[in-house]
Amino acid sequence: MSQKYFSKAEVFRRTYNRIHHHKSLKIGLILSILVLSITITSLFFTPFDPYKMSLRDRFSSPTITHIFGTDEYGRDLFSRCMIGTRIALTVGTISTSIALTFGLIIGILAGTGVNIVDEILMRIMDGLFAFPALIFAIAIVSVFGTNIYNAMIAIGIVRIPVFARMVRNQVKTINNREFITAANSMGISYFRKIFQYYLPNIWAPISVLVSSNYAFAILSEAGLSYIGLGTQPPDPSLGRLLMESQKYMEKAPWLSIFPGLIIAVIVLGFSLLSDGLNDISNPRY
Amino acid sequence: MSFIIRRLATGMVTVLSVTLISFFIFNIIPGDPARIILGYDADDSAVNSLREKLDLDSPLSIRYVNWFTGILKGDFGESIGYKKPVTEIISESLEPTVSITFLSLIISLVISIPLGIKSAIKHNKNTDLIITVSSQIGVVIPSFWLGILLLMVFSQYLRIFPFGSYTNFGDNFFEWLKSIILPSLSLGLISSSVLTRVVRSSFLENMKEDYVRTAKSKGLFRSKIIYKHIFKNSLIPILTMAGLQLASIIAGTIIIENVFSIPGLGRLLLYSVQRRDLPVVQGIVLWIALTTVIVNLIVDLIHLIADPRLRR
Repeated sequence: MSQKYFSKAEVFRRTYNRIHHHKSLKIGLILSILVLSITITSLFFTPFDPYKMSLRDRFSSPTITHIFGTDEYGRDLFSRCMIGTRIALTVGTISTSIALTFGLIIGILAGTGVNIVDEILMRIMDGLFAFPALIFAIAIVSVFGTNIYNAMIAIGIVRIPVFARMVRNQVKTINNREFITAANSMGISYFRKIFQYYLPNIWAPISVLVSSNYAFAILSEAGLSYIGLGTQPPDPSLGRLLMESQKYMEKAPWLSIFPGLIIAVIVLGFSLLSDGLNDISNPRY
Repeated sequence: MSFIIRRLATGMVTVLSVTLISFFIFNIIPGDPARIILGYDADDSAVNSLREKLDLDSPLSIRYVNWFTGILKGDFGESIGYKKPVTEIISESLEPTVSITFLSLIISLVISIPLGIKSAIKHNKNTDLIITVSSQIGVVIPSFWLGILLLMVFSQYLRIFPFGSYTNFGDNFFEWLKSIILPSLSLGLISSSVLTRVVRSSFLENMKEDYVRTAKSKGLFRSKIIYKHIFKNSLIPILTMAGLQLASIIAGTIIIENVFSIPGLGRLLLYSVQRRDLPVVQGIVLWIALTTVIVNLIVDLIHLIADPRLRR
């Protein structure tokens, strides 16, 4: 099989074309950028103060001023959802970083190590994998205290096996490639081998997993906050907003509709992004 | 036979590491666990007696061995709040959770298999597009939000289904079904969208195989090719995914029970976390993790029996 080499500009053009012609990837990318810009905007601007109560505006249904309506204390739901989006993205980023870092280390150690190391690490990972994320997170917050930091760490830890397994399997297939044999015979140091030969060859499946993990982490945090074990008041995480809304379901249904819709849109963005990345990184595409 | 034994052995190791992890989570509490459970203003004699009861003065390894042998005998410890064995408390609230889990799985399979097949057969047609898009939407919706929406429509406005009550299976079958249909529907619909995608892609993969072409050229009926040949061969990924889905449905019940105020394991778990009844929390966490391991083990064993290629 003949191998073609492209200039950097050519590679860029081809990548751009691939993204441009892949509909779901394009939508996913747009939604994720939208979520990111809402998060950045929320740092210095929200239409109303998300924590300021105003009893005069209680239970205002969606209007031009309050486009998502207001809650039982007259707080603007749209501003609160903006903060909620920021919390969701923070949870996604921190827990994914934890899962990715430890997953990479454990996966590479297992993939390049001797059989016994591989076996022990993978069995521990199997044990951790057996815990549904939410259950593990509940265990952690029940012991270490109910707050968003413990929740993020727990959601991160529970996803380590997913990353570790994927990295390990990728490393194992690369182990048999000729360039590794060549590197070994040249006596290249372990770390250089990892950074120069292994990592560049596994980043594509990792990026797919990273974006799908964002979706997963955001859904898990929403569930955890919904039962009151994630974000604590007065911080408005999207799951918590849904929990608080349930008391007023009949009186103010908009409180139950918008936060859920926003969770779905955020998750849709990351999940389309991950599907799309999976397609374009697949050589058969 | 040896492959079954090998799989059982790795299953045992996984069970062992599950117990290790659940033991250590609850025993690496910073500070004195007895004081944390009882609260900082508890008096010393109560703390000391709890320390003795929980065996906190022995080294960690000995405590693990004692705890593990207890688990093997079905002894999950004693609840601090209820003063009853944890196994007894768990078994009392098990029925609603198990009912919802199974009904959800059935709903999920009943919806996803026909839709996935339909979508694969009509590949790239409008039907396929509609099914793919709706399953994509289903994947991203949090199940508890769907639960809230269903509750809003069917319990609040239409008042068809009850809210916040659970009827035992033994007492009245129809009331039982009515009390769990909405929670099961919210979990089942979400899980069916994941499964539909798996059924579809597994079918599409198999439709390209040579044996399908052979079957076609032999002049077999289309329905026979689809339901007998392709369906059998696509079962394995579907089965794997259904096993994984069962695990996520169990976790989902924990939340959905809180949406519908159903007195199952989820309510018990949340209540115990709030009351710091750690033995109960530990018991439920371990119970769910072990169920997950055993379900996956069974799925794997079925694979090994069904597909000789995996036995190597």
